[in-house]
Amino acid sequence: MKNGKKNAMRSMILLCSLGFWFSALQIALSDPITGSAADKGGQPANTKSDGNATQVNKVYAKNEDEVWQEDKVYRLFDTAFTDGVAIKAELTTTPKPPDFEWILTPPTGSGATIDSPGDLITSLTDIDVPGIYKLQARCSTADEGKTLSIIILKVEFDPTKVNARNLTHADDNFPAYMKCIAVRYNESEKLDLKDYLKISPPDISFSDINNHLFWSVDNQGKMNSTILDYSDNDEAGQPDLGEIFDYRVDLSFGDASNVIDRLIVVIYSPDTESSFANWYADNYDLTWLGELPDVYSTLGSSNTDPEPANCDPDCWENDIDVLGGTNYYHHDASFGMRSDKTPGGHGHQACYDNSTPGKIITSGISAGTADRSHYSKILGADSHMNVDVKPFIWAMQLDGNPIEAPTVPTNLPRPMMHFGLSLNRYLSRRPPRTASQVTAGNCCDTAYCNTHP
Amino acid sequence: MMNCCFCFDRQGLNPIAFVLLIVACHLPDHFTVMAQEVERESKHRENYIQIAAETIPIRYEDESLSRQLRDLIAADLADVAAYVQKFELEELKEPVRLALNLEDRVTHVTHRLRLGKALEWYPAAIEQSFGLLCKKGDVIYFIITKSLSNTYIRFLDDNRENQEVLLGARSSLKTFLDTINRPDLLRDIIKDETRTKKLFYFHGGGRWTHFSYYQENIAALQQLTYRYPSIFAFSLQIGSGKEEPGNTVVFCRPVITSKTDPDYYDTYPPLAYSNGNWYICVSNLP
Repeated sequence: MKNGKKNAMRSMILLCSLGFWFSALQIALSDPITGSAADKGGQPANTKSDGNATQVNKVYAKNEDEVWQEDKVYRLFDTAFTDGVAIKAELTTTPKPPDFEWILTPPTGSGATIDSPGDLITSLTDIDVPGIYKLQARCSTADEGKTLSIIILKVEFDPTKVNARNLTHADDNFPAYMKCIAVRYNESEKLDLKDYLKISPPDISFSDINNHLFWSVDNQGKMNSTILDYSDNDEAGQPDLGEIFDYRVDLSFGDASNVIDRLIVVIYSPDTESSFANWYADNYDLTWLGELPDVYSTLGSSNTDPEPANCDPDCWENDIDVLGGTNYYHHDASFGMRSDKTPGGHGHQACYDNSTPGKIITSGISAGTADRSHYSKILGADSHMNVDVKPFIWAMQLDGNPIEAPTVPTNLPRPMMHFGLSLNRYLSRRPPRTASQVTAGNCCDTAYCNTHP
Repeated sequence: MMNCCFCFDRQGLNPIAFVLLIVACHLPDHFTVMAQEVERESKHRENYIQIAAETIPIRYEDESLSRQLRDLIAADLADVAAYVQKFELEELKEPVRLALNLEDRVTHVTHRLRLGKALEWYPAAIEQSFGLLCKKGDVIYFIITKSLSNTYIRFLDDNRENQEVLLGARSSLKTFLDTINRPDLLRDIIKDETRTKKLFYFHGGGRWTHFSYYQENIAALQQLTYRYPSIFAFSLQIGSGKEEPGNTVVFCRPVITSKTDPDYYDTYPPLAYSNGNWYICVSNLP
């Protein structure tokens, strides 16, 4: 068969009535679940005699588990199907009708055709979209043969309802999870995961395939339903401000080992949502950014302080923070510099990449950001933690990142996976301020550098 | 507070000794009985909890709890209840049946305390289970459910191997809090650069380069109060700071309130205990 590189076939056999010449016709498909090649040699089932013809009313295979519904066979969509997918169609009667043919009716938008038609094996090509492909056996002595619906199925967490991973990191401890959602805590403490599914083609409903989906949360085995119950996560009721419940959801098809999609679920506190909204609204005035000193475009040689020792004022602190790509607040930045405190109590941070010397990162999640409160202000309502760091953590959580600040929040416990709307909002209020740059070895323009010890 | 120099087996994983020590170190002086005497006391001596001037008898759903564990739980809950100024009773729509009929025919949880914002002061581990009550006539009983007592048992069990350092930290915390919570002492300390700097522990970053940074924080500290914490506020970590690399450091995250703003509370910055001293912990934040 053309698609010999594919997983080979198991049997799914259809006997259909095709009039005088056809007493029986077998159609066998690749295993809808594993695509393995074993032909199980099915036997006719559920047949009844009707005069000279044998009526066959059921699609069957020897392995009855693979018979889902009469006249329908499901197979998970695979992009490799465009190259061809083998369908085994076998005429079991002799002599074989001379004008027997297969008719394929693909779904709208698909150019799929039958390739290499035969009475034993048929190969379809360009199965390029999920949909219902109708395969019909005909001959001149029958107006219409039995039709088999080959349902090329795609099941996934709906990209329009969940966030796609757009951040990767070498230290990621769940790299296989490419999607996440943030869900506000609800007193029912239940989340119906099927609400986040997208099933293609749309003609197929969740109930059509429910029996073949396996849900697992945090590798705790098969769930009995699609409901994620988060009531027993927590001995303390709902998550408090800045706290989350997070889960890893695996969706499998056919059997538990065949994971077809994965999702990180973050349940966040209602207080987090309102606090972040209030913070965002309260921080519209950015005039304080004008106090921040120019940034250095690069670090000094060997990634040292680029600011000469004799600069007066000394705008930037002498210590270079070696982030090493492992301080996940700044994702994969390699170095950081902090300014001295400005007269208004603000601060500036600049982050650098792993070049030698490090080059400033001007945008994105790894860039250094403006600090409304200088990092040295650790106590009180206007501390750096309260006005700069906590809102960042809230934004991360609202974007679906499964991250809480630890007791000593020097670093995040894991890298972020999604840079979304909330983090963008955060950066609009605490932007990387890198437009005005000074080269290493020069002092900041004293007209603009007004930090003070 | 009594002297906590009991002998106990470090390798022996002796949770009872640990509990005894914590209780003994923690309880006020009039509770400072020798461990052996505590052992012999009746399980049925009544515990009470004082909440906003109300003294409420405690009932334990797990009646097999030792006297020592009962005292520990009661004392710890008393610490976190000490700052509640007022509360209301909320009657449950459906009383929750307890596993056993307790003393005084306490059979159900019928009410719970409504503490409002004060509840946020409570460690997450006990927040949901704190404040369950049974009201029988005019008498209110404070119910410590089995779930709540098990939370304590798990915590003690998890920290069994670090009991020595944890005990040392806990026993000396009150003295440190007595210092940093007193504006008059802070005003004195701030005049001395060395004493001022000794209040801070730098975790994951270098010391501040300007003394003014210390001064500004001490000034802010005068407006704040670190509350004496529950045992759940304690955690251990191997220090990664420049000052104590590799040392076991006890971190404590007490609730911080404001002397001027009744709505303010915080849990940052935490405190750090290293080499026998408590500090205000400065983390290298982004």
